[in-house]
Amino acid sequence: MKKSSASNSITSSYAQNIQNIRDEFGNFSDLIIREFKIGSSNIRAFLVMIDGLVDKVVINEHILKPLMRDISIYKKDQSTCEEVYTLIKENILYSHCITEEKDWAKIVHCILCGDVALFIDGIDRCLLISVRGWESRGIEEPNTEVVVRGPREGFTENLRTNTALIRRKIRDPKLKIESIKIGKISKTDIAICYIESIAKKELVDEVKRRLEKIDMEYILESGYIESFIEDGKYSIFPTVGNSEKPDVVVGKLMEGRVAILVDGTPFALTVPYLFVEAFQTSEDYYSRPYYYSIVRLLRYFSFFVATTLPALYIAVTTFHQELLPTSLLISIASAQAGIPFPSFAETLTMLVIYEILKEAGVRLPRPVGQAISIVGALVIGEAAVSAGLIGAPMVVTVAFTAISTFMIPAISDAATIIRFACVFMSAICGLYGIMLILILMLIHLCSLKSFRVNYLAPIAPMVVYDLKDVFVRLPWRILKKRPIILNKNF
Amino acid sequence: MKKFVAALTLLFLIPAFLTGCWNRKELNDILIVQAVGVDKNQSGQFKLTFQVLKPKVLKNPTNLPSSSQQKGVWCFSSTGKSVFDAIRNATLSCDKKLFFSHNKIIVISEKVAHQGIENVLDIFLRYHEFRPDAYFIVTSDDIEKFLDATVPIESIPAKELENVIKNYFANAKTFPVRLYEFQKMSNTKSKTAVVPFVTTKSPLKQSSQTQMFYVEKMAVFSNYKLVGYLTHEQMRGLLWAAGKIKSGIYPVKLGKDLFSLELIQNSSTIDVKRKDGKAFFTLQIITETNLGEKHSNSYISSSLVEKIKKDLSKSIRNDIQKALKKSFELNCDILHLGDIYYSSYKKPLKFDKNSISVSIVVKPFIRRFGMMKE
Repeated sequence: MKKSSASNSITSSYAQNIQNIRDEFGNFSDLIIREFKIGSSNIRAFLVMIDGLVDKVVINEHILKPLMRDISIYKKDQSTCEEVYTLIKENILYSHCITEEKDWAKIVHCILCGDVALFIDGIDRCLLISVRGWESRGIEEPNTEVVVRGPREGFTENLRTNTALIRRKIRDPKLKIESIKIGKISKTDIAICYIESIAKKELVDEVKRRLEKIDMEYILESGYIESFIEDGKYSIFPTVGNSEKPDVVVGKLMEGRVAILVDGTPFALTVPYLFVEAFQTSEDYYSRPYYYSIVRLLRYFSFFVATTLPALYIAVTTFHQELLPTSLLISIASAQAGIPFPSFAETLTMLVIYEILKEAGVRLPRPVGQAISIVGALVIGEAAVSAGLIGAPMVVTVAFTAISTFMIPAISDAATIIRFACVFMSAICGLYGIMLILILMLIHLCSLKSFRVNYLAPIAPMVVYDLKDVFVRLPWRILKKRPIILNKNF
Repeated sequence: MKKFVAALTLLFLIPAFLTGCWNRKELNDILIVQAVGVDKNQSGQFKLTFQVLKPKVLKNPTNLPSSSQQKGVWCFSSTGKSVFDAIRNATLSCDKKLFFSHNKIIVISEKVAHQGIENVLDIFLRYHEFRPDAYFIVTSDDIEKFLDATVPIESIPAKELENVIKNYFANAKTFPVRLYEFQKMSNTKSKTAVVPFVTTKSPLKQSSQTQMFYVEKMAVFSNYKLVGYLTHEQMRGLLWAAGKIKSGIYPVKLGKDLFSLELIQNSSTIDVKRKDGKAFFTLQIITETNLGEKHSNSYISSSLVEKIKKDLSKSIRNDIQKALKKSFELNCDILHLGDIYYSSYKKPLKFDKNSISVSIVVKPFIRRFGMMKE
């Protein structure tokens, strides 16, 4: 970018323009400069594009061919360059999106985005033709939020596809999709989606304000954005939601939330994000409400189990043996007999092993993945128990904890951290320690806000009207009115 | 951030000044006591016998409890000047500290019971590790042998003993008494309480190794002292008066015919009236029964049913009279008539045969006659 400041607009000189392009891009191996003459005239022109970002067929068939051959049909006699330019712009090019541009920096950016720039000799403007077409993944079923009932489509890495997926579900002009670019070097496209009459204007402005403040050189994933716009900077709880499913995002938009789509990311961010959203899934709303209300209660229970069960085990077996029924204590004591470690060390070992297994299992290539389950199930589970290193109740506890964590994927990482904190504290002072951690967590949750909405709402502060979709999911005929919590605090 | 750190530090400092759970003890470092026996030795010292679990043996459930090696518990005893002293003296010989929170049974020897147990029970109610809901029993057997008995089913004798004394609901001849219940009963006006008297016996004549627990009778405590025993019939009478009968069998004999009635639902109310310095108690019993067994050729006619019912009321009345008679004999108010009197008149009852009269009204009812027509 040596000369960009020197020549910030294009000249009418053909040679100069070519030179400028060459200077700007240097020797890009993927830069194509295609020089040709328009029709049978002697007017020279050239196309600039990046190989791989453009659709070759469209360029050949719909740009080069008319410009080089079909243009003679319209040509009556020798025209000036200006006339030819107008003709080309208005009659020749079939492309759906053509913009006229003078600003050098913008031209360069558009070329890098996959547009084709047409320079014509003697014209100090250039035509940017949108022929973006690159290899991208098709719309697939998302991996993270698998459903039995409900749409199977998921976002892709392509921002346009993603906005189209949302647009297809809300056919109303009130659905606004605004675009900004973030990243000083990467210049990533970000789309802010909201429904004008539903999302509060203050919320939309706040989102824009926070996005504009982001000072980062590159954005590779929506997670970058998330960490800049979230409220609890040091919190282990997420205050920005994400989803891979357009239907989920549209549901949130309809409740008055704002979605942020990032180019190159199949995850859309939604704000504000509340604690209770971690316990909701899209399928709750698609299936009949009764069973899924129970499931939702189970998720809350799972959160409790995932955070405290190993700690409870330690507390009960080392401090409060009297709390257990005798027969249960006997089973635990008999399993514990001869185990060389105190139950704290035992629990910690098992929890760490589980985390290792989990992480290893995620990153492993699929064919090797089976080894993990064999090693995990057989060696850790069976062998450790029969070797007398770990008690069987401990294995059951950790396994149940692990499975419970999978019930609440949205806050599973927070649950894991709390679990370890609970384990440490319960090893020091029993149930009292667990209570301390839980109180600490509750205080923290109460203090959190997400885009000016209380994180624990509608539980604390209690908004009775919105409770119909918190612990249970009531039928749609009761639920059809929008929750008020998102509008209240502004 | 500074504020946050300060708050966090404070939060972790506060617990240091609060009372909490400081006595961390691993399961491998405690001996879980299932039963405690209290006795006195020749020199007047307390001798405590403990039945503690052997988790390692219990680990493998296929181990049969028959041989003493495979038993899930082991018993040992220790002596001391006081009960607590004896408990702590246990650590002189055993490898870990005793843990009493899961103690199920407190056995008192007959000898100690005769001498009075008010002071003996004190620690069981005072010390934080003991549960007041342990069952309380008396035995005349040697405490060591009694607790060390090899029982046929459970690998933990205390568990089996607990189950046996809890069976009262099916026989209505005994009553399980928890420590706090005993204390409650002893602290009433009448100051009497009953406690199961349990002995061991062989399951069959020829078998020698295993032993079964047998609730032989009920021990009567008056003012924390063992004063006498109630037979099963007398106990049944007492349970009628107390309204604690759940189910039981009443055999009724009419000439040569024998009928067994199963008690299904029972209710009893007791009222007291005072007249001329005498207390008149009215005990009203409504009982619903099923015919469970019939040794007779006769049809079940309505006249026969009437006869059965009449005889049933007679035997119920009989049981209560027996209990009452025993009560006067021991001169202790096991039916807690004094408490009923006191709650009505706020005056102590003069417990005397002549100043008390109890009239019993029994309203029996036979609901079903079983699966056979005749």
